Amino acid sequence: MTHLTSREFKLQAKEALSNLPLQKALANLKTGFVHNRALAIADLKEFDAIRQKAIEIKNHTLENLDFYLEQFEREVIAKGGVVHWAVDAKEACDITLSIAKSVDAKRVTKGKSMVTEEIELNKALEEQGIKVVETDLGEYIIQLRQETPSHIVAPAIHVLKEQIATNFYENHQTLPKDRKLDLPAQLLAEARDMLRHQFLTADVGITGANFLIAENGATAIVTNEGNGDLTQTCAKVHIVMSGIEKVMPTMNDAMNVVRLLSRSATGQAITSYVTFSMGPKRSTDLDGPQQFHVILVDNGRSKMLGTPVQDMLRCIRCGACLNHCPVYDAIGGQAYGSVYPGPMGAVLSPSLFGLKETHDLPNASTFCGRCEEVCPMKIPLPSMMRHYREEEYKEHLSSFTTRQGLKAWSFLAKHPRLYHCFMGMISYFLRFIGRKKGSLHSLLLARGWTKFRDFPVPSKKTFHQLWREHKL
Amino acid sequence: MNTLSSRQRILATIRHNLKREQVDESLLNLRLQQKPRGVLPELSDAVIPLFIDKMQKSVANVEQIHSISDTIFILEKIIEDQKIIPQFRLAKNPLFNLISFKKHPDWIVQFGAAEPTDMISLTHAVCGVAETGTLVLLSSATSPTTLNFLPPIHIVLLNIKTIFPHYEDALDLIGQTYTAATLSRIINFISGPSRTSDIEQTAQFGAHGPKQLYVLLYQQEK
Repeated sequence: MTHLTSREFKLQAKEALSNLPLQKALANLKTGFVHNRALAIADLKEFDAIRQKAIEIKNHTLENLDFYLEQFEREVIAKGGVVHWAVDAKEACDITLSIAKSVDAKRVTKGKSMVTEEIELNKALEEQGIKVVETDLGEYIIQLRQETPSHIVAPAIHVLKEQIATNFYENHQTLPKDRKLDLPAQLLAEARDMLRHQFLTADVGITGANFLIAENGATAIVTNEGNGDLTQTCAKVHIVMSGIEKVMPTMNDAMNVVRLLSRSATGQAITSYVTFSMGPKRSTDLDGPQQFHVILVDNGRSKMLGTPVQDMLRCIRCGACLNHCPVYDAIGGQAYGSVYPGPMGAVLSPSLFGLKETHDLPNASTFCGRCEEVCPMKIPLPSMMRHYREEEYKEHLSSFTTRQGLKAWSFLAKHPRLYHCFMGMISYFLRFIGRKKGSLHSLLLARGWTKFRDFPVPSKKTFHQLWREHKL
Repeated sequence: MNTLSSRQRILATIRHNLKREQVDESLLNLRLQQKPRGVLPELSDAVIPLFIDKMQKSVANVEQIHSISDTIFILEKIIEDQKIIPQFRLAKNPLFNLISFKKHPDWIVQFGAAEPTDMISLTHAVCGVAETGTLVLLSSATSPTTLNFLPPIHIVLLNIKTIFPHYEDALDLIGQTYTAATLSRIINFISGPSRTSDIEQTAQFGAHGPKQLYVLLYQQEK
């Protein structure tokens, strides 16, 4: 993972906080996704029952993942498709390359797919001289900006329209230089025109999958723009790239999850398009791809089974945990340095890419619990982050100061008398140095706190003392 | 190098990590056949008004007509209101013979899959779903998928008697009509025109697919 810069999380977070355009763009989150989700869920009184059912379905599927994957594979083959299995990112890229080369592909269009971001497919294809065009509007924008997505549903949520206009002026050189690009509608019209031609002339169309259906070998995409549909219908070859955990037993099971997905993601009851695709063009069809390939990507997922993070495989990538996270809200997605940001990324990134590179991410949480609360799959994200914090300590990944601090704290916490005595001394000391103002402007070992706010002077009596007095 | 294929390695890791008793495949196969339904939301209204309401909320235009032949009046109105070139693309569905395009010799009416220059496509939905105002279209020689996505205006005919309460009802209908071997390549659930909020979370229509979606609900074919 060359894109993975999670080791620089603290620095990147600091930069994000002082990045004014980013801060302005992030302000749109609350008025958009958060508000709309609340309305959509209030409008569906069965939401919790549907959620419970979806969790059952997903748990059942994960417990029998081998069976459903093999069943799915059989059905895809029966419909004339090809199934490939990729252990890791490199193998998934290699398989895609060999399919592309077999049809002498010069250009590839892509629908939005997080797993292709995860395995850095674009880089692998472009290194071999194949041009890749992202067709989802958000993905197209960040491709022009040579960035990684900052949100798993809205990849360009960190970009302001003025910045998009600049990118369009720079990249769409064939268009008149004095054209107006002030309004979102003007930007959209231009992107539509530019991408239309790409759909029609692509050799290979790559999409992700929201679901893989075991009963009939269908792959499903849940979208609003229709770019995924054009990508997969107009190209000669359709490649579906999907994580192995996306399999579902039946279409009925998938539609139960669809009821949760768009409501949790964008606050729509359903997206404009939910499309199920089965195999290549039939002899009687007037359109469709000549070849249909599904690449099943493991890349660390099977290793999560049977571990404390197995439930993370229930994730349907709705992004609700990002939208409701105070940390994501403050720094945006790119600071996390992983294609999976926010709370879901704080668990998924260590699971897939290893804790060594990503151990700061599970610490980027106040444990306020909103992520778990809004998760349609009720994934216990905070306790999984806690699990990784414990692993971080066990594996000696945290800094010397943190480790010594934790050791000292745990020693004190295990010796109540010593703890009370020590806290009493600290409290006395703080009251002494802050006796004039009633607050402290600067504190050794807590500068990160006092830099932005004053530390209040502790009260005369500790909580324990007060507790004892009230009980008496 | 490991001599096992990637497929074998992935499946072996899954089986090893699940630490599960022997799987009773007959139970799993039974579940696949029974296709248990999810939790069905209670509908707040009768199916037809609810379908119309939900469709309109997704910014689709819904028109009620008596028979398929009345489609021509809606088409005339669209052409007149929007001042667009009267160019249509439709597939050879015998039901469309009921529309008297002959009335307008100046209109361009073409058949087959969509071309990039097409203005208006005309298709027929298999059924509708009331819970979210959703159309269900299946690909076939009489319903190529590009018609649903390429032209800027998409007009869909729907028999008002084929609006069902829930997605599962539509899937049941498909299951009863087709076998695994005859099932269409594509099942499209369509609930509005193409849209995006990728620019500063502002909702806009006609991202890549149709800018406008018309649903024509007809009472009877003739």
